Amino acid sequence: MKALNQVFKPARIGLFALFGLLSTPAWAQTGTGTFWTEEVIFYTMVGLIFVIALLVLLVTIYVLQLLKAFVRKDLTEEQLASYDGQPSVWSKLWAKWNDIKPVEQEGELLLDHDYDGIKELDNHLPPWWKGLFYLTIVYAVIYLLVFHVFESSPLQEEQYEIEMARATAASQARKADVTYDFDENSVTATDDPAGLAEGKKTFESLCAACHRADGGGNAIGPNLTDDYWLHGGAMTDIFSTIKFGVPDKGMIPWEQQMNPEKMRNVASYIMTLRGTNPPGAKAPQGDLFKPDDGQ
Amino acid sequence: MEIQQFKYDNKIVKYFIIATVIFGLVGMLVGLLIAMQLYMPELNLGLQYTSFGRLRPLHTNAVIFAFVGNAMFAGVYYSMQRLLKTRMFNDSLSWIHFWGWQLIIVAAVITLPLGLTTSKEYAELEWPIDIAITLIWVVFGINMIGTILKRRERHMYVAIWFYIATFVTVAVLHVVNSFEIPVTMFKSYSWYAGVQDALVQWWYGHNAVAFFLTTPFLGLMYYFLPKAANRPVYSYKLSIIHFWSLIFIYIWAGPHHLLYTSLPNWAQSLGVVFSIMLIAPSWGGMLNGLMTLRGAWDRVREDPVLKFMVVAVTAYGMATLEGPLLSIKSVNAIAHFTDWIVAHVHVGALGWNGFLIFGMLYWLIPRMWGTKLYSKKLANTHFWLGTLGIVVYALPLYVAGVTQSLMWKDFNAEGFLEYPNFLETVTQIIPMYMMRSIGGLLYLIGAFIMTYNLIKTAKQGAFMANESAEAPALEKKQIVGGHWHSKWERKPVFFTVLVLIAILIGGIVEMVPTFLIKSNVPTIASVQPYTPLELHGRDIYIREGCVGCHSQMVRPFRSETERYGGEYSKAGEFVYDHPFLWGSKRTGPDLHRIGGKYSHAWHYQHMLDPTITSPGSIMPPYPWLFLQSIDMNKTAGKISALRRVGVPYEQGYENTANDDLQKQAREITDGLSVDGISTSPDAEIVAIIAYLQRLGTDIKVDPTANK
Repeated sequence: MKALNQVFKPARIGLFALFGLLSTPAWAQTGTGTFWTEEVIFYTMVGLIFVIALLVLLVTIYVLQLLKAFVRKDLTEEQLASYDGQPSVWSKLWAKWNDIKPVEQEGELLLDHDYDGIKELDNHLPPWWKGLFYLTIVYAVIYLLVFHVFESSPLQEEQYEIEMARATAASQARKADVTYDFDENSVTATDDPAGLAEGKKTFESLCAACHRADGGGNAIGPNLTDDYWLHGGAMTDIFSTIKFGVPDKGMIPWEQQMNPEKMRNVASYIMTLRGTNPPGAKAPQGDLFKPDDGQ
Repeated sequence: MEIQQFKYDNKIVKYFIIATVIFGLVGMLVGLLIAMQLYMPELNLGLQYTSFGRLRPLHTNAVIFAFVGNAMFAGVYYSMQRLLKTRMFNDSLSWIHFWGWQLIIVAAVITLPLGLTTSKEYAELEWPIDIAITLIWVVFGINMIGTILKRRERHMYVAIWFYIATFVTVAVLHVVNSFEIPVTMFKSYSWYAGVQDALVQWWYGHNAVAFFLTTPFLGLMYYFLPKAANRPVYSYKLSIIHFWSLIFIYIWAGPHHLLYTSLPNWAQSLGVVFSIMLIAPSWGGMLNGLMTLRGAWDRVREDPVLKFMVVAVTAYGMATLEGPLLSIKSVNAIAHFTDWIVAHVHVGALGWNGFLIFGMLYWLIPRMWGTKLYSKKLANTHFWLGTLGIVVYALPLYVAGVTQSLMWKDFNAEGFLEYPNFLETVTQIIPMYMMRSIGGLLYLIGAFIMTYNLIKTAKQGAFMANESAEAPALEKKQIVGGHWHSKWERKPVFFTVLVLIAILIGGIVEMVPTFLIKSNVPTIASVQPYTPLELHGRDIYIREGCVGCHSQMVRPFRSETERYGGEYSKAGEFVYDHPFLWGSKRTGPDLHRIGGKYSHAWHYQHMLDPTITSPGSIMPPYPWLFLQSIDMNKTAGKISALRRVGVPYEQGYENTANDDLQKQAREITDGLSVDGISTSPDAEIVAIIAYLQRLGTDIKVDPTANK
């Protein structure tokens, strides 16, 4: 699912870039992990329609080419000659959009410039190009008016406030939906194998950097497999240490990155490491803690 | 009318061409090496002189100033003589220009790996070299203006307008951005601090692209493309309109490099709208180039020179549309700091500059040596390898940029970052880094094939150092009337003044208020100057080029304040940052709020071997930081220099600064010894830890605590 997510997201953002040039960043409104949100469905559909339209266009061009070939087959030599003499619809349109003189008539436009043999024509500015230039100038004026004169659209600081307010509201709504029946004072270790497996995975990806993959500790973090604890060895202590961190010593508060269940799982996994006695583990630090004292 | 005989100087062109080819190969080779370092950190070779942070500026300087720069001079010296029907103003100036420029490049090749850098992108060279650049640039300018003044052609052709704009603007950019206070022979601090330094730097950086990589090359295009195609230039009107609109608008667009940063909103908005308004003027150049080929497309299929030029002009059009789109804030919010930007600049550098240079060389060498191209087949092979190389280079990086950015911003259903570990977002795009280096390799192989082909061509011909020419003398009669612009074309000095005015307006409007109006950088009472040890650490950070991969700018997005902890970066936090170190690319995480996040021991281990703390990290180890000591004799000079540019160190503090330094160093070594690490207090690692632990923490200090 994650891989799929990554394939689709760029398309979504690309469409946002096309349609929402003035809008606030696209992800500000999203931020849900479930994949098939309305938005994703919408943009996937738009993407599909776009691809199909492209295919139809290609087929149309191909069929037109075929028809042309069939028609030419039935023409006489003379008809064919006069037919080829006609400029195609495309070249007419091209000439019109660019306000172009045909190459044969360009002599009329030749200026009397000659720089080391380089001559210059005096073709008109392509009308579409002029239009594009005017359009960008109008865009610039409107942009500045919107953001700095009428102040009708939020600038970055306000955009940030809006984004954060929305996230806070979503988080409160979630808290109302999902409540955990434990906190750092009442948490108990889980023995659910799935929970412990998840805890092990979390430990190896996030905690191993400072405590080694086997919990034996390294020059940064203490040994988690012995009976000595700097911040307490009871389940509630370990959970608290994970949740609030020890900012002075470089352990970050993980509550910003994990939900209570995930923190309980990893704390429970750490409890299982006790006494594993991995080779080369760090010397004990802190106070002796006997499991039966606490629980 | 008297017909005068004279000779074109081809020898100087030849020398610039040789330098172009040599430095082109070297610059690209270094590029390939650092591209591979991104997935094989061992290629840093464990040497400080070959680590990514130091080689990246070498790569950018080599390709911009040595490869593209020398090619520009070759093309300018060749075309200018012919467009003005005269030999260059002064041969001695030509040769001072040539050898001076090569010496500057050699100085860059020596100083950058040594870590002597100002850290300001594309302006990394230290102050003595900056002065040399100024002098040589003035020599080039005198030679150019002198040639224009003694011309035998009444009017200046459009290529010459672009050359004038190049000379004038690069001079202004270089001088203003290089204001710095020397500390030692090869160390200086930027005159400007924080937000102001950022604004000046990106006004410079953006317009270095505009006036070093774009305007001179448009000039070259206007000479070599119609020559090679043997077709008249499509529209003189278009030349006039797109020239003036391009140089006037370009200069305003610099702030688009600083969107969603601490730069004041009004300046950011100017950067956005002027970038959008740049689309048409840029495309004017592309259109005039492509439309000039009308009626010659059958030859484009045949002639390698035209093939290269068509792709170059097309790449120019693509890059100059992409640039403005990247300047739209909601697009920039995704693309900035990612590999998307790297892909974007390489479409410009490899496609526009590289291919135009190749086309020009394939056209020039046979003419200058009076022969035919040795092998058209090899030239075609080069063309296809190069084109394929650009595609294989750019596409994976587009994917990498968007993928990584979306991973940075992804929140899961519970409101947590889906990828809280930055490293995950890096390992995800490693395959793209590998493919990119294959693209670069293809492009480089093409360049080697070209070198062989060009040498063979030269060998079968005979070089003519002085090419005879003749033209009527310019009569000293007053000419009146004509098209308004053609009047200007007769008055080079007046024209140059108009160009100067056009390019000054944007910079002045953006910079003066940012410097003078206080509300643009609101002060924060708790922000204090760096301590002496932190200053040493900061200078090591600059020396190692950490800024090449780590930004120091937490943007005002929830995904960034969540990831990096706390508040987004505020303008007032950077007031003592000479130079600013916001960075432009996040190959590693942002570091502005790193202070206090990890323990001293974490940093110690991480610098020794990043994979200890972050398995799979592509950051190279920095073992020399543990062996080298800081030079405390330099502390006083650093403090005094910074006071000169406005950092409020007390008078006389430089005399006692080392006491503070030693005290702070001992605190850190004491902290480390708790974790069983013993290190000397004057080791560089201690200084860099001090600096990293300070970063972004001033704002966390309780403002009432000081009272």
